[in-house]
Amino acid sequence: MFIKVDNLTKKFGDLTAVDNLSFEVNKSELICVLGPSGCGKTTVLKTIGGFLKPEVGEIYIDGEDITYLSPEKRPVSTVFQSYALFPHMTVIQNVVYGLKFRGFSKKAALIKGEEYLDIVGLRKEKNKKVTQLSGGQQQRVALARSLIINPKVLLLDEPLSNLDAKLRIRMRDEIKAIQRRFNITMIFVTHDQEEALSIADRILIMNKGRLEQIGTPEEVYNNPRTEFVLNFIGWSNLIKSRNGNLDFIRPEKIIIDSKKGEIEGVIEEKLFLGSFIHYKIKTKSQIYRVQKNNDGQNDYNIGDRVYISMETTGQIVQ
Amino acid sequence: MKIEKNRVSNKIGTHFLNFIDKLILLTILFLVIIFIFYPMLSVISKSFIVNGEFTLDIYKSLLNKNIMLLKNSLFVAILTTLISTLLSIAVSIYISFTNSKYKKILTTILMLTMISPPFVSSLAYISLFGRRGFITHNILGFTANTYGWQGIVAMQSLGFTSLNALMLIGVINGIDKSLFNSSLDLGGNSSHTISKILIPLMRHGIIIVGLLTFVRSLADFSTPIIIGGSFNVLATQAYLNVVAYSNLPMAAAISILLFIPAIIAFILYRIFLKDSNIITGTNFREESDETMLRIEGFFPRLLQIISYLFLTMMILQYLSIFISAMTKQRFGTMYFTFDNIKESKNYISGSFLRSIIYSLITGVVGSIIGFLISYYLEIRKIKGMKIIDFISTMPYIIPGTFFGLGYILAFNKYPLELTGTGLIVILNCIFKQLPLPTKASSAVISQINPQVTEACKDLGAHDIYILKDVITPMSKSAFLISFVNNFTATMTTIGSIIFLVYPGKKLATLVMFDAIQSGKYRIGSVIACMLILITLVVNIIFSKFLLEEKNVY
Repeated sequence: MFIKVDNLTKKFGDLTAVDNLSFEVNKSELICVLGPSGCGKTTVLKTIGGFLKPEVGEIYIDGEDITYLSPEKRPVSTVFQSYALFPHMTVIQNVVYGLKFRGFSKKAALIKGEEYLDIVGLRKEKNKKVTQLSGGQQQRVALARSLIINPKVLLLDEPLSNLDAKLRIRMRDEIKAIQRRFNITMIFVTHDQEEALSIADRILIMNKGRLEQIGTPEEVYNNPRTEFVLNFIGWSNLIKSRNGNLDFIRPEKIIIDSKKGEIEGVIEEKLFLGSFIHYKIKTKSQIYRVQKNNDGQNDYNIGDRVYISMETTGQIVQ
Repeated sequence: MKIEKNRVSNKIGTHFLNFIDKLILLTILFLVIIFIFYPMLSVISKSFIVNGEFTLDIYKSLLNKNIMLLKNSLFVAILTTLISTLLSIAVSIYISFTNSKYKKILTTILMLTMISPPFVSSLAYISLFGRRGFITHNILGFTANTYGWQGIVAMQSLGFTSLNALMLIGVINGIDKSLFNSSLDLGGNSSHTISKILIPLMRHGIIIVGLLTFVRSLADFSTPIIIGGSFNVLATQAYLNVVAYSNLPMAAAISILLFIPAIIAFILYRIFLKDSNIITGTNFREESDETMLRIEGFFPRLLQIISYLFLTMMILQYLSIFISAMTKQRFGTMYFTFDNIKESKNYISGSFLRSIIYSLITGVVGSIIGFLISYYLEIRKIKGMKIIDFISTMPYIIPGTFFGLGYILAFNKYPLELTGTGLIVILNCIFKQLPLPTKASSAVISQINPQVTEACKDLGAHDIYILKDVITPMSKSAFLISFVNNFTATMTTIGSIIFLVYPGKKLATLVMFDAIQSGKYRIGSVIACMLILITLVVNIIFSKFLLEEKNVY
């Protein structure tokens, strides 16, 4: 295992932010730590980065126990949510800053700095003050500054949360491309499930400081192991089965028809979301959430009588 | 182990950097304890210990002989506090909410008084209302004896109002403007909003301003000496006990008596306003929140009239000093002349140059020490630093004579025999003014995003590098503010250094004080004008730098 987190517990006074958390990360893997705000995901990142000392537990990177190493001695680097660029330095000064502590001469550092600015496409702005850059450009400087010191692990703390929706998707793709190019191990913290699903090799879902599930995007979506994971990722319809377990059906798996189907119901709510339409359909037994592509055919309105047919998507064993 | 090798610069070892770090921290601790705490302790022990034994005799004789002086001190202090606090409330509210063209003049006058030497107002008072005063003698045509408590109260009230008003403007700036807007929105008029919303929200600031005025009035010895005539107060007595009677234990006891209200004020200040920056006037709030609160209606108009009266008095004050510096009188008529300036050369000799050099040193060294204290306090959050911060803020409140006396008592023997040197004066100025740069630095440093220092650490930087590469360059504005504050304070100080300066090494303020005391008011006016000019130029230059600095970020 490349990264091994073992029985990690971190408390702030009475609050247990991370509760006995264990997980492993493979080399060159991109792991997303996903959860609602306050679930402890940033705390996990900060303990790996060395900015917080855990009460209990160990962290190993490449076989070495780094739990009590100070941040400047850890083979990891963090891209901060606020980017944390040095506002009084130029772009290139920011990027090469860490090389100073690795025995680089000034000249060699600048050459390497330009190389990394090329990678993130900012060579032209190298002499600009970082405060003159746009949000996306600042993000790239922060990435280059971390990558240049060749860390074994790159930690990213909600790196896209300050960008607008379009740019966020572009940067998401760029980060993924950089990860493939450098083959670098990344731990990426986010509260955005779509971001996690699209970028991660595996997703680690946390709730109240505890691990809920770790798995590939397909696994956590198709086979959620807990009710929390089921509800946190995507929408679903829950049906209590006879043996006490929970059956669930994802809204996109339900077929609506105006004439034929298994269950009869009435459209109670309609939510237009652009590429698809979200309905709430009231039947005798319960209300179903149903999602339909906005394909221009068979548009239903509130009050319409419809039929739905479905198969159980999966089951959560209680 | 492999990692260790890669992550640390091969040039300078971590151990060495740790050593430097510890050394800086210990030096600061040492300096604050030796040059602030120890002198204060010396004063206290001097007043209690006679011939090596603890005794209360000094206090007994103090209270027996000087009960009248104590009454006088309290009487003046209470009156001054009331008048100055009311004046400063009026002026600060008027300035904060008016759009009138007088706003600029008022603010300029407030700033001008901050950079003026002390007893400028006393000097002006004498030239306007004294025995040969311009108004009493030349206009009204009589030779009056206007020396007494009325003059002291009037001059102290005017003199303290500027600082008070600036502090209260800072308090008003810190209040969320939308509160006023919602009061107006709910139907309260401006008058009502000011009296029922604004003033109650200012109450902590008002209490502090009142207490500070009370403390300053009690500690002020120069105004009573200059215009008190036969009316004597405790502070004057403490001063005379040092310079005339050489009774240091008595001087120490009086200083401690005056110190008690000061320490109460100080503790209240720490409780009420620990997060505000009213000492330095540094305010980083965005001024985007506009309010429609205006000076309209009876109450605000009253505040406006009071502000105008204050403005008139202040203009009169500066005008009179300027005129008195540039004129002479012959056979009852005044005429314009440079004679005073020429004449003042004999008095000044090297004192201005010495003042400027001392102020420069105080500015630079004080800024660095203040910056380092706030670095270890705000960024490193080192345990025990709070106590150091507490001690280093104390000189802000303790009477200048107390602090000066402490230096005489603490540094007159081996290994720290400093009395009579220029160094003791510089050290006294640095540590007396240390609260200014410490607060200014803390205000700037606490604005630095903690993630920036984390990022620096993350990239492999040792604390010393973080200090050098990130915190220091990002605190440029703090250095500028600290330097200019310290420079100004040293140029205009008198209280704490009056006992420390030896005859051959006078500073400009002391020369001015001597000139006034020996009745050479026109010479005093010339020196006052020159002091104002120098501090004004330095302040203007630095505010230009500061503006550029702010535009960068």
